[in-house]
Amino acid sequence: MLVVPCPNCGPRNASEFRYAGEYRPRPHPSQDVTDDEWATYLYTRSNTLGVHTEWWFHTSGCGLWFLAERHTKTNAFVKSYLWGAT
Amino acid sequence: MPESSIKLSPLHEIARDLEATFTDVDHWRMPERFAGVEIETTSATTGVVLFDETAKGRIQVEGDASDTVLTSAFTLPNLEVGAGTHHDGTNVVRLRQDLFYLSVPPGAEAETIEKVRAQANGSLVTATDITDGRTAIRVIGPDAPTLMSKVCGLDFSEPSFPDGHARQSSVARTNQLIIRNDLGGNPAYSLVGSRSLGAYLWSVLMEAGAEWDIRPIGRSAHHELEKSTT
Amino acid sequence: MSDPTPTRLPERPGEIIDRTRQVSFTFNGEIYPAHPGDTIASALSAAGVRTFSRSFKYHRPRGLLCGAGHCPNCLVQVGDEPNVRSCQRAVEQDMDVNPQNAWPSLDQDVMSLAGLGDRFMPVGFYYKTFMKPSQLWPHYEQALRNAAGLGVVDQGTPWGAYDKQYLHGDVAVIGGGPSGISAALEAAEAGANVLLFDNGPQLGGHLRWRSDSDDTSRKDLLEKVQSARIEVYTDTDVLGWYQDNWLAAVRGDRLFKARAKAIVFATGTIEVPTLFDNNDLPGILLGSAVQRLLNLYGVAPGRRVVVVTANRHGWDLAADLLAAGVELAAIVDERRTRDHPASVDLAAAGVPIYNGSALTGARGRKAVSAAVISEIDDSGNPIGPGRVLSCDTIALSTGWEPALDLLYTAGGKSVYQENRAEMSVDPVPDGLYVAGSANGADLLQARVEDGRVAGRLAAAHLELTEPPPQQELDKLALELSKEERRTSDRISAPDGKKRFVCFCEDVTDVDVDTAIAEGYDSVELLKRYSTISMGPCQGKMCSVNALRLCSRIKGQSVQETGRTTSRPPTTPVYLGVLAGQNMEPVQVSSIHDWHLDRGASMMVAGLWLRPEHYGDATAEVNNVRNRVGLIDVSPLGKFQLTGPGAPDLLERLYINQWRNLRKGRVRYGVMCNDEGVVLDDGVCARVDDDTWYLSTTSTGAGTAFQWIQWWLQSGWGGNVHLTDMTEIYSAFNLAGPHSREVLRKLTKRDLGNKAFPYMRIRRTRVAGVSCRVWRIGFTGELSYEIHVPSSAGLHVWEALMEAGGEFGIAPFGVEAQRVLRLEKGHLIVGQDTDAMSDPLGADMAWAVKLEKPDFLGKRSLERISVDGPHQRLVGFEMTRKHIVPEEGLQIVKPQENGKLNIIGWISSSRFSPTLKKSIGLCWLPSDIGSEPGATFTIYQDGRLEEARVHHGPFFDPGGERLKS
Repeated sequence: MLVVPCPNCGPRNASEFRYAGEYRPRPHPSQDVTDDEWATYLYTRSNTLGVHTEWWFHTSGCGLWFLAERHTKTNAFVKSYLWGAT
Repeated sequence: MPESSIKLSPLHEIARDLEATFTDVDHWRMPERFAGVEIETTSATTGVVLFDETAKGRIQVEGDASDTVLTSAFTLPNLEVGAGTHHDGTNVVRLRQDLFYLSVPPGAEAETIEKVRAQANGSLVTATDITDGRTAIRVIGPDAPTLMSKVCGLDFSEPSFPDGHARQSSVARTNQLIIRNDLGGNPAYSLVGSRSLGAYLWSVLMEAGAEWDIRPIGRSAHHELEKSTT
Repeated sequence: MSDPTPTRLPERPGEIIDRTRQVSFTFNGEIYPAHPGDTIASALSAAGVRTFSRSFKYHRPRGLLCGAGHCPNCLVQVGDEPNVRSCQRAVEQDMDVNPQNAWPSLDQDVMSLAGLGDRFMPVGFYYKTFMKPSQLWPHYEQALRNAAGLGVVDQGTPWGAYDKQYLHGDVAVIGGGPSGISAALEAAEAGANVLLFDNGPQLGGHLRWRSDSDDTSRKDLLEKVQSARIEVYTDTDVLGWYQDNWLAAVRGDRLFKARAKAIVFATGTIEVPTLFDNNDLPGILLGSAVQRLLNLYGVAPGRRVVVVTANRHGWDLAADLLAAGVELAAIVDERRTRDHPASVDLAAAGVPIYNGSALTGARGRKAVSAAVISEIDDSGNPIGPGRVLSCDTIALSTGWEPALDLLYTAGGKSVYQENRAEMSVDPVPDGLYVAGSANGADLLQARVEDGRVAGRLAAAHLELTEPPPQQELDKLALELSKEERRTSDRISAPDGKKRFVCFCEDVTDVDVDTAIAEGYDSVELLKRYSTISMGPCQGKMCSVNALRLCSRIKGQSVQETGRTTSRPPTTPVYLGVLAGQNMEPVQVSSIHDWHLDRGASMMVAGLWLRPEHYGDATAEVNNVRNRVGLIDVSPLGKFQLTGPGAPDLLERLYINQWRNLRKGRVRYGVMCNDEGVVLDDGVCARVDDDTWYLSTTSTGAGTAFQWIQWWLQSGWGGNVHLTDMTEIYSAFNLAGPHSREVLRKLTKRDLGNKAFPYMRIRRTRVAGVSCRVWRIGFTGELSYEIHVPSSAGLHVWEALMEAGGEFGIAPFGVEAQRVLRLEKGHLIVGQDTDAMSDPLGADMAWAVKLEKPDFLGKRSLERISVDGPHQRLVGFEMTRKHIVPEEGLQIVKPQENGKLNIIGWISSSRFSPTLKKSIGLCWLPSDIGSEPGATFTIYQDGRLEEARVHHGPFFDPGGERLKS
């Protein structure tokens, strides 16, 4: 089983976490966001082969959402951190 | 609150089915004795036992300033995440940078919250009495670490999970706060989790511990074990 | 009376049986003696039993072959337990052992007669013979299962006491032979916590049964293990490697899930048979099986043995047989050298030795009666006429295959070493190490040294020590390269008899030939078509032979031929072990036992058990409408928001407006995601200036909590904290025209409509317990939702029931609540909405405040509001009032051509006891749904039923009752 590095609790079994997909910054939904831009935010994923940034939630642990940089082929984690901490 | 004891642990029916004798602890009705104090303490020091400590008070303190506030409210050393300390019957563990868990004697919840709030000084620190939302089961005995390794993926070996430390993890597929608090030289773990899952967790632990003839202990035996510690 | 154990030898040094005691068991209905320490197979062998089973397809007699728990030949049924490896299972008193796959008897198997197999079971027979007509396949399959099955599964077998345990270590060593022990010792010495797994009953590996080393080296290693920091798990099969060095291992009824930072694979070698005519006859054993019988159990494999070899191990074996006093018919060695130390003694004892010769076939009907050998040329082909050697046992010691299955599952890439005729792994993934005979080391000293180096490398990987110096590694590599080749890769020419490549699935060399000729010429296709390597041994006995054969037929190298993918489990495992202890969490409320005592019928909702009804849901509905009822709604999600930032957060989380809500007031709210899809709904109250208390749906509570936390923890968390109160409060809804009178008996608070009107919240003592009381009404009646600290939940519930006695109070369950809310036209998120439902279509447009600067879903709802929703959630009534269409049924529109177009679906439906008619909620195209009274058609059980659109509540549309 994959080991996921929680920035608060340390390395834990992946079964303790919820995976929530690629990190996508949310455009402020003011009028100047076009339909296309909004649809891209909602439905398009980059599907990177390589390191990308993704959301995890430590369900069975500290209850924190965090970001992790993971290689999508090897599953190797580069780092993980709380939002805003980079 | 009425005079009679009206607070019940979610494990109350289980204890009643086992024909435990009961005692009143600050409005809680808790098991005093199961098979007998001597049998219970012997099991605790030679095998593994379960103790229902749901009646203990539980406070959660959240906020970026909670570290400072708690340090002023109690005399606290600097705590790393996962570390804990005792002060005057209050046990404090740090769960996150901004989150602490306090366990206090039954009935001391309100005054503890007051004590914390008094130190807030305008910063947003939320102290919540979560006593009623949790079941607390203490697993005690030399076989407790092995029993825990049957229901939880954490490493319970000495250097990985030392006495006084706390971890939040999955135990038998439920979320639990696990606090290691050795008793009388024997390993012990308090499992604090959702009240609604208490009866389920108890039954899983009893089944997993059958190989060591696990048994429940009441407050009398627990008191004896605590005496032998000091 | 004849000797019951004719082939039991006098005591052997190192044997593990207790000759002072005797037990007995039955096999095939007859009683056999054994000693404690015997396996079923060793005891049967001592009694001279040769046939253990019948083969999978052709039902040929099969006997003990590998003696190491790999091959299928000795699988037996023990009591109700099928497929037991009899060479591994210790005998117990009164054990009831039976052969498998034999009918009517082991001795006379009907299926083996008349060449049934040959004619009807060619290679690929599943695909060829039984495909047409396809509707008959279930019958074919049943017949095949009966003919070709393994053991019999007893459906009445009780639930076993399986469980699991997590293990943690710095270094895991798989294999407790000399190299594994050395690796473990070296890693422990460097300070690592070591887990050492071995599938045997004791550590030692081949030292336990092979006589090429004196017993002191084993004792020495074992003593060191005991004093080192090593956790030893014997009798433990490692089944597979998974991501991040996660090992699954089984000991008895327990599954270990072991995590290590580095792993040493000291998994040893597996002795493999070769291809020759009749190579499956009982009496043909692998050399290591013979040595196990001799040296562990003091059993001779037969009375007259031919040893066939191509390496030193056959000579070791011959020396053991000589020492044990077993008659040797011959030693047949492919090699022309005769340099083994034992050769002098063997020659002196008059044992015929045939160098440069090989086995070409075996003769015999039910068991071996002779071996056919021939001289061979340098290419391995027979020269001249063969020689027939009379014997009852052939011991094959011609090839070893490194046991690398586990390492392959861990990502190791196989490389076939032509010069050694065996597989190796290169490269070995980071943090993984292979040692000992699995790494090509053969001589004891080399194995020990190779293990030591691997242990050191593993410890160095964890930075516990320095890696060994390069010159040490070079020296070891040089020594290993000098090791004698231990495997023969020759395949003798066929002579019209069956030669089995795969014993599990009864696949012969002819089958492989045919399959390749038919075009199944890649190994992965060949495997699936011929089922080779897909049986109980999972390729351990057959894989390498199949590859050699395949490469020869195709005229390419073994490396080019490739090998099939290895997958866990590498050893058969019980499903019960994988299931482990039953751990299905169940959530119950603080008054669960009260519900059970009242005979409640419980239903599962999420992880919760909730009363569905207490016997009569319709009576419960009527009681709420006419008198007063009490429902346990404890699973409701309950959250508290604290801090001055709470209104900002609420404005963003909900589609509604919150900032203007005054203290003590309650508002219904809806949460959407950014797609504008409804996620959850509930009520939210401002209980204090900076304290808000909100509820969510019961089954959505966990998801809603995570959802809010996500936004809180990614930028929207300024000055506000979210606390989960779901478990802290039990919640009861007291509903019905008499609810005020009931509650009044338990509280001093003024419950009058002026002091405590609809959509307000108050902190109130109820039966002496401080509670939060909401005046809200999902049921449409005057009602109070009481949130009580859970530990006092039962006390307050019982007080309410007692106080309500004079008013006819009765508990009601989820079913009655569903009917009551449907009569009011209230939707349930998740029941009446799905992942496509937006609030504009779901009849909640009034709640959407698009003028707010931002909220989750705003941008999408703006877009949807341009054209308006395509579908609408509306109420309906049936034209035939007693027809209740099933939930989930399709709403259709008949076309001119007679076909039916699906245009909507029924999300809720019930018969309303209050209104005496069938009502429901459904999704319809906006043009139909927007028109009250419009008719539409529901397709149910082949019939078309007519229904009419209804807007608003079905009952008390003015809401007078709940505001009364």
